[in-house]
Amino acid sequence: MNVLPNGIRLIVKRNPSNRILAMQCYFRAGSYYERTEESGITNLLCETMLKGTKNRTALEIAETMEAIGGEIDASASEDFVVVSTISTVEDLDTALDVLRDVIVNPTFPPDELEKEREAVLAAIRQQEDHSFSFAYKQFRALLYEGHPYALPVIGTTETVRAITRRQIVELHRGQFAADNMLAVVVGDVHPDTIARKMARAFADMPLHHEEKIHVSKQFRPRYRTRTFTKEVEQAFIILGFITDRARSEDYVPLKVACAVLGTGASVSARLFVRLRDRLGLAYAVGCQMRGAWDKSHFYAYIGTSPETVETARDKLLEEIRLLAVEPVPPAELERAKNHLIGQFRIAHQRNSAQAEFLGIYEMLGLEARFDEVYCDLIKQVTAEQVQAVAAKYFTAPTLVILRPPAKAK
Amino acid sequence: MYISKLNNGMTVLIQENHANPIVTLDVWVNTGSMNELPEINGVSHFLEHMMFKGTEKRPAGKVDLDIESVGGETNAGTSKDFTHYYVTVASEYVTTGLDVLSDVIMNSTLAPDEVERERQVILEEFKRKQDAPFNSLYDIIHDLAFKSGPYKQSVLGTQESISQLTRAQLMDYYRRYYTPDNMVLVVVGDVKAETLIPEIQKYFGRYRRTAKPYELPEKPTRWGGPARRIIEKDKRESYTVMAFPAPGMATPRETIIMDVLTGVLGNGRSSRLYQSLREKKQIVSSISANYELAKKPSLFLVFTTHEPKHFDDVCAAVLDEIRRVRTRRVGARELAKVKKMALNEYYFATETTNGHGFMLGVSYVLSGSEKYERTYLRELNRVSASDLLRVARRYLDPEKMVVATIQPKQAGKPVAGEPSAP
Repeated sequence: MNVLPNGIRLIVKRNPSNRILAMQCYFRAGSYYERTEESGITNLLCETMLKGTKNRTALEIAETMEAIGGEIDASASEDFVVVSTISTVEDLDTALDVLRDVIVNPTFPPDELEKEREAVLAAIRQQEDHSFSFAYKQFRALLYEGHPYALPVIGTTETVRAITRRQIVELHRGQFAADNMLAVVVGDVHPDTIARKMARAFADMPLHHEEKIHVSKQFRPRYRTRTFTKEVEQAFIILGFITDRARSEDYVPLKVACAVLGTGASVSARLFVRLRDRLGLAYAVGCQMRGAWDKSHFYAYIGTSPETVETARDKLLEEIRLLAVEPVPPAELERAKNHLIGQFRIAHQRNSAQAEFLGIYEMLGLEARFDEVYCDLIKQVTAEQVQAVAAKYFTAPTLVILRPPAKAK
Repeated sequence: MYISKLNNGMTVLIQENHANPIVTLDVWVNTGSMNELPEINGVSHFLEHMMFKGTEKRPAGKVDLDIESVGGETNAGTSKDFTHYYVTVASEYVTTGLDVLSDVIMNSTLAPDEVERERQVILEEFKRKQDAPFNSLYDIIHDLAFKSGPYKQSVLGTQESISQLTRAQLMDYYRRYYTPDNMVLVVVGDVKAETLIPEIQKYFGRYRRTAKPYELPEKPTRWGGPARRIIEKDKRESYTVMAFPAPGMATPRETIIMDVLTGVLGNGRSSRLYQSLREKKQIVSSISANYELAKKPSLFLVFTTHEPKHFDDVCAAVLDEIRRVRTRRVGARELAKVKKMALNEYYFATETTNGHGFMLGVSYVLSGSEKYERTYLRELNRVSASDLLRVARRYLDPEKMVVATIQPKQAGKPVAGEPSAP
């Protein structure tokens, strides 16, 4: 990690094996730092950021990047914002110029803001139209009730309608400052060159950001469930638990616990084998351990027939609870760990993905170094640790069910 | 790239890439739903599911276990033209990968109880597709756009055909199409071609053809448009797909010109459809264009989401842009931009072993040789404004447009969440 004269932190990973250049600028901002009544403001800011600067119109930003065959994107999440480009190394200067322009000089033109506001409102409606995104949103709202993570990154129809341009300009002024920025660059460039270019590009950036005060919350596990009805062909169940922040010592054992059950849709892990292969209950079944700056969470999901909702729910819970009851047999533990390590390596092929790992680890408080030690930490996890974290966290689930209305007889 | 044929007729393509200690092994079987009679529609896809359900040597579950135990991943895909199976592993486990993959492709047992269980899984996949607007529209638009032809029917099959397919039908199809001379093995990653070939020969070389493909009646492509279908569902937004005729591999150069044309119309924020419909007219919230490379004449598709009230304006605005590429030449700067984007996308796709494997495999299977892929960038570079005009005039006929939309049943009524008993 390198710190530039104005305080920007910079991580450069040189990769001489190709000509692709990934540059990503992270800021500690996001829905975690939003007040309830301005939910979605960071996301709307990101969408509008690419729509005009002091030097370029929205079309000019798109055309400049696309003329070099590159991409630029800005996105918000719970814990951070990332503005990123992908290009070839040869086009570093152009890509960096556009990147700095949208970060330092966005003008948030009123007409563009209205356009993006409409697009976000449409995206909110579309989330309702997809079983997973609908159920997951409801699940988070219930799981994190009373905590900023309960609010969707995208906002709600009401809050997105109410956000003003002034609020966005203020948020930008307050957060897009040098001491709140982490730049990650992966590609075949010399670290000194990129440091020099970055320092020059962002020299006129405000130095200090505004500290946002936020309140965390202690959660007591309690069983909560909510059922929604919609005219769907397939029912969808999602259930999970709050866990500690990503930088806690439980995080890696929880990753392994999740892998035993089946991270993503691991096809040799328990959920897939027992619920899909043996019982034919589902096509889509899996789980995720989502690390967060404040409170992380684990969730499992299954899409199943309306008639098998109760069976699927019970089996899913049974498998999760079993982890707390019995230690995972050695061979299975080994498989889960190897799977995690293998996935980690496969996922690191792209330069943009390598940059993302470094950036996200840093933003979650795990530090970029976590990327180097991850595989070793996974290897060290024992069956006892897996059982212990399962017993600690996988107690009273939060459960959301989406199902079609009962048929009239 | 290294290319070779095993003595049983199987083609092998090897692309060395030592950037990461990873290798992807991807077997391409030259069959898909285009080879299915209506009564066995969905058999290619059903078989794809069965390939992971046990072989003579490995009971159900062992296949996945063997790969995931060494940190690898397996997956598969079925299309109208092809079926493929791939394994990505650390390069030190390349032999494990070859062993498992060859076993799966050649020795799957299709055990009767596994067939029944997997049928339920596929029926769930079918339901899931019905709930996802663009996924269900994809099938609807193909059915509507083709009065007849190889691409009319769905890859997944119908609820009926999935329910009725028998193990005997699966087995028969398996013997006829999963033969070495009907397959290509693509290897991309951290391997040495010359040392790998004997290993490939060892694992794949011993298989022989057992039966011949069906003699199917030629299904000529007949266009079904103009046509329009409006479907009402419990949704809050409108999802619309528009289709126009597009070239197939019989005219390979036209397919590359079509790629560029697709870029002009719908790739990126500066593309014409995005600028016109989203930015200027503000009648859609998202829009993209897609041209799916296929053996036979296929479709140029426009996908868009919008408010229901804009449906007619959306269709009209897309048609305006279609007419524009048919009447006016694309300027030099725009053409250069689109080519550069296509070039870089190609380059970015080769960054992962399975991305690169997919490109090599799909090009080979669809065109029947490695030449298409090898000359792709050169051909792309040669595309001129008059090529675009010619291909647009030949295929993108506004009079033939087929459109299907899923729209909300009634003005968005919020769903109520209610607490329920544990």
